[in-house]
Amino acid sequence: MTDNMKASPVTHSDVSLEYTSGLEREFGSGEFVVTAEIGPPRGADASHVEKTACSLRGFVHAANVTDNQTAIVRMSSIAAAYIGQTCGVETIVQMTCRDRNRIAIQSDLLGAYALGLRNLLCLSGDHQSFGDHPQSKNVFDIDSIQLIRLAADMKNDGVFANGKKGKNMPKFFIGATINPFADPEELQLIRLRKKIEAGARFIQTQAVYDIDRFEKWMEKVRRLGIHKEAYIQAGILVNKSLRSIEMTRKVSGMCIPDSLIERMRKAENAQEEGVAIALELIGRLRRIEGLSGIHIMAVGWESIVPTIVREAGLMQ
Amino acid sequence: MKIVLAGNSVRTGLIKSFFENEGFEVLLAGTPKEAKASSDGYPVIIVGSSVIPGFLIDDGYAQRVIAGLEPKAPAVMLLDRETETPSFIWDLVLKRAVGIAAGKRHVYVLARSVRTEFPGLERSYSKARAHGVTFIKYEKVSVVQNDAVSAVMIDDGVMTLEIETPLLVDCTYTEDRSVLEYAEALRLHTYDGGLINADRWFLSPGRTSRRGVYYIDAGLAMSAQLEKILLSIADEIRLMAEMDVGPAAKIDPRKCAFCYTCFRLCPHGALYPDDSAVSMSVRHNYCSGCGICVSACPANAIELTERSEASGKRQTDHSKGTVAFCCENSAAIAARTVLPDNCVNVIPIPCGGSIRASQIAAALREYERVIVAVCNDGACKHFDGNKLASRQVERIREELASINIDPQRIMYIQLSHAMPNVMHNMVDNERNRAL
Amino acid sequence: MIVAERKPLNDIIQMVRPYKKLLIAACGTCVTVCMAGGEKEALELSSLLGLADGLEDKEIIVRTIQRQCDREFILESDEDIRAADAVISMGCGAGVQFIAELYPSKRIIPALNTKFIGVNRDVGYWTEMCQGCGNCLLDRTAGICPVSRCSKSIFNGPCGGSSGGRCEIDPDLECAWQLIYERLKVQDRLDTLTETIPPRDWSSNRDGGPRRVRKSSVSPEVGK
Repeated sequence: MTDNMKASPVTHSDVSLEYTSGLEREFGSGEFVVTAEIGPPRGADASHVEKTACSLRGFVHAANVTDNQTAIVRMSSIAAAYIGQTCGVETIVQMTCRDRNRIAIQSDLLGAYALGLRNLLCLSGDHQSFGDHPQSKNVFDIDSIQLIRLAADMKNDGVFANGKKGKNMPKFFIGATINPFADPEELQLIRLRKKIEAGARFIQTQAVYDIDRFEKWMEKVRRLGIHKEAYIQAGILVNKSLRSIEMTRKVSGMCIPDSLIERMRKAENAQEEGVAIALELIGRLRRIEGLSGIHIMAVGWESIVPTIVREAGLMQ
Repeated sequence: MKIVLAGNSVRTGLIKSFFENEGFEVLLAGTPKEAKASSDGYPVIIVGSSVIPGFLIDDGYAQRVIAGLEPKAPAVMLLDRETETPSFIWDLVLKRAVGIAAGKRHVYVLARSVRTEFPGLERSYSKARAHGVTFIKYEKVSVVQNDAVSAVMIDDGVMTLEIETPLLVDCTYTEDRSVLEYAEALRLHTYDGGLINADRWFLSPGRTSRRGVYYIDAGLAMSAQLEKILLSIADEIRLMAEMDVGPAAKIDPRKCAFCYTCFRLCPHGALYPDDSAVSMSVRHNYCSGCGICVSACPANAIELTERSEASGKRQTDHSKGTVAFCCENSAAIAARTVLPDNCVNVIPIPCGGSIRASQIAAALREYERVIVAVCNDGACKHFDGNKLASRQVERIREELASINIDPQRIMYIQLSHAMPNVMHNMVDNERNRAL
Repeated sequence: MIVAERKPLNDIIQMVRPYKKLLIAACGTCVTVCMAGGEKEALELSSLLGLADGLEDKEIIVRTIQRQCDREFILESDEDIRAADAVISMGCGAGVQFIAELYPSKRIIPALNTKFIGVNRDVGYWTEMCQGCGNCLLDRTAGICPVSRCSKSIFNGPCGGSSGGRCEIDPDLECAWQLIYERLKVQDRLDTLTETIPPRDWSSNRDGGPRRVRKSSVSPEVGK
């Protein structure tokens, strides 16, 4: 871990415009990067975020902060990401296209950068029909690829989306997501390349359970040289119960081998089994050529992340 | 009088001559497109030529062949059709098999595709088995001919079996594919949603579901039978011309939105887009006055003319608390036998499919109860009319329920004309309720 | 064409309660074809209203206006409209508003919910095809509109929720981008997909304000 990453909290007054992404540096140094997630609260209490961030400090290189995930209203990801950073954990702001038009997006990006946030994950966003305000209008003024491009143009050319130059423009380390098991595969690979072409430099995959299949996908990725153009992190979802893994399976596009479901079903202690499975998956993933790290999603169970990181021998 | 002859059977020439001798002018339609174009208003005869083995149809021929065989030698009947063989062929095969087996001869019936049930043929099937007929389903078959003896080898995927027989009858039924193309061009229907039902045509050769459209499978008919069929068709065509069939459906071109709904739903292909007009038009010869189009038309542009007095003439006798819309092909007939003195006002309708939700709703304003009585599934003369009625009833019930009116004020029953008891029971319930 | 659906009966009943003489104005064009507001539906509505509790004393008549978006057709029913206490229009939103404009003191009640511009896929079944975004890009997407047929109106799709060719919000909905991909494949134009379509100018859409179209060759300089 670099000095930047250790315990020092970062507030907006600590940073200058020259302050750069620690996460990018970690990737660049060849370190096997570990990230996790902070889910902001459904209320205005900053201490919830502080607690989670503090518990992750030292165990991850950075933490994603979700943006109204599944279209359920939560504390703004920029606000929560800032709070997390003040506790000493570098954060990755997730931004969706569902709730904001390009004016709000650019405005938010300027503000986020001013607060000292440096990492941006661009997503389409779950449709609002999934969330707690299905009656709302969806925006989708731009899509996730156009968002990546927008942020990249700010960084590389110092321009707004209308092409006009701005002052002190943000230079985010930009990321995107991909589902390695979505079909048709050909189309998904086209999209992955478009995202990287647009400016994405790190890619987080959806949760991987079927390592064999993932290895085959990584083979294709390597053949296309994609792993050299962007850093790829495999997603790991830690399930704490049979119900949890069954619900995960229901999410479209998820590919979970029956054997793992059976293990959770037969386990005496489901939580332990969930951790064991995650550790096995991590073990195999580390050996895959071209993979630059993992992204741990412990839904509703952030406290388990330190255990996983320790037992997997990561972040040594 | 003109008629259109469609199809490319070898018998077409023969049939053409027949009708010309009967005084008709025969237009030949060599392709389905021609059949569709030229059939405008004229009767159409589609001629096909399926292959049916003479051994199955001609009893005399079959007897002679069997008589010439060595006693004790087995007979083999082969049905090598990849898809299911129509039941009328099975009927012939079973009868012939029984006939052969009755002469103390072992019969093998080998089939590539076996019917899982024999509706209507169970007795023949059991009889055949009782006579020792062996039925085998196979996957592969090969035949080697040696003079008068055939060596038949079959493989069912598990075992092989070789049978030597002096009598190998190929009963594989091959229909005339082009007939389907004609049927599609003329938009013929069958009950199971197909176009031509070989079983049905065998049972009543000449008839199709469409007035004025006939189908003769020359392969089915031997010459004596064929002449009989052709004569009856000629008579019917003449009768149709003489009768004042009168269109039942009449379209108001000012109201017609040209939405094609009636065209799609008409079971008889009686509606067609008239290029010279701006609306749908009716082919009088095909229209059977079922009223399905009247009910379906969203612009209310179609009405039934006075051909049928059943086009909704209302008896305004409200002393009876119940009105029954009865299909004239089933329920109305049944009603006549059981309801001379009763508390139900019967209104005959040409088909269940002609009932409109607004008719039912309007009836509910004047009667306590409305009965919709239609034909059984598969018995509707217009194929799905009874189902259309059922859906209208469902829809109206939902609307009623949404405004807190009892949906059960509408009752829906299916019956045949020969089931007056269904009607009777319902009426009895009405009587008890009224008391 | 414009596709609409009749409002639930109770909603209409609530709106008409205060009025005694009602005119149900069917429309003979789009809503007839989509079986929502044609003469048949109007007659049905009339009988259903007559059955409803508390509405028995209402006087209801039904008239069909050929098209409620052209003034002359509405004016053909001028007498009946004036005589009514309220007019239930079974036209699309445009028709309802147009009648209201011509008779500003008359209560005009919408009987339909106007849904979309769409096509008829089968008897009684219509699907949304066009949203009137004002700037058609269908040549870039193989003739399938991402604005109206993608739930997120994505221009560089599909999103991560597309699975098995279906949209994440409804398994019965086909993913528009899957369809675009398949069609481009058939046309051997998959390279089109590798180009990123830039952010859309939405000002041609409703976002730019209510729109007008004027055919200068025939439209009078000033006037309605």
